[in-house]
Amino acid sequence: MPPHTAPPQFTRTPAAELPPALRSRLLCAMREVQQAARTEVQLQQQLSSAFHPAPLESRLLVRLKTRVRHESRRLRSNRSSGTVWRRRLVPAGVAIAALMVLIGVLCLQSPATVQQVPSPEAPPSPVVLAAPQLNSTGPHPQTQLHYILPLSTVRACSFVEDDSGFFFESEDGEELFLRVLRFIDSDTEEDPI
Amino acid sequence: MQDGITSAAEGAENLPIDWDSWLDTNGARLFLYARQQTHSRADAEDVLQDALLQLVRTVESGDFRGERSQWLAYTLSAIRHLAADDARRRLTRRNYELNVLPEPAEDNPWLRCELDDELHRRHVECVLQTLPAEYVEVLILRIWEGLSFREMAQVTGENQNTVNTRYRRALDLFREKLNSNPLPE
Repeated sequence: MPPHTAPPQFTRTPAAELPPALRSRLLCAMREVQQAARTEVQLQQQLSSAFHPAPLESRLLVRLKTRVRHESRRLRSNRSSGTVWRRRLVPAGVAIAALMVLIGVLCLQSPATVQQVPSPEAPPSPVVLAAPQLNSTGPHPQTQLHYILPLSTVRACSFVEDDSGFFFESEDGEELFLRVLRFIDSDTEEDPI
Repeated sequence: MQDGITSAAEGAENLPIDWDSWLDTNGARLFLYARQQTHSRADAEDVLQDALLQLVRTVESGDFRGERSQWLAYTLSAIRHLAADDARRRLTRRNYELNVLPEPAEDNPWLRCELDDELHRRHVECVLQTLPAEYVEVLILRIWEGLSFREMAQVTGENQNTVNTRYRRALDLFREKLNSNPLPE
């Protein structure tokens, strides 16, 4: 095994203390390097100042600009619409969900969803009436549904202008606008009108 | 190139980027490099367009990490990669390759002479095209694209010392070949 040797120590020698022959060789080499660097820079400057990249043909420039502009616009539009969607979708979704819950609750509680049936003590011969569309503007929204009203409870009725329905007033004073589908007389099965 | 700290797209988030003026400034330089990297003028046009679209997508999406001044080096790098892909595809299509010859430089000059010295321009281009491709590449990147050696190393994917040495050798060889017809003073 070779004996351990210390790394070589370099000492800095002032140029003036160098042997004359070595000094002149070093100076020569430095001048060559400097000259080469100068020539290199000079050539580079000559080339870059005397020659330039050939300009783009206008046809190509227009094509490139159009493509780049189009792509930029497309990306910006995608980005902004994406942002708008994200910004609007979440609150809109929450609002819709809340509205649906509210409608559900209202539907469960609304008396209109329950079909009114005659009470057991009410007399038969009901009048089957329906008020699907015409009375949507009528005074009572609940008349949208089918009603079975006992004839005995009807105090008054009158035709409306288009002959498509009646105003009924029941005993308790409730006024309904209904379109008559047909009257049913439970005894004769004939139209009482 | 892409290792900067700031995002160039930060400012571009809301303000539209003036791509037109950027292209006016850099289009010719980019095309020169694309010409050197590709087989024909048409290929160079396609490669340049694809590289530009790549830059636009990267910048506009906010993925570009770096300063605006680094867009040029990024695009040069994209040109290099796209041209290499294109060349690879062509190698698999031998018939196409055999039928397409390189276009003569006279028809589509790479350079324009400031002093209107057509003779020297042709000579310089001829000499350039006789040098090895990797020499011409570093000469173009340094002299006409104005890149630093660090940026040249990033574009070429080489070590910075390698690029430095290659550039010096390329310049030496170029000078030797030019000696027969020296450049105008």
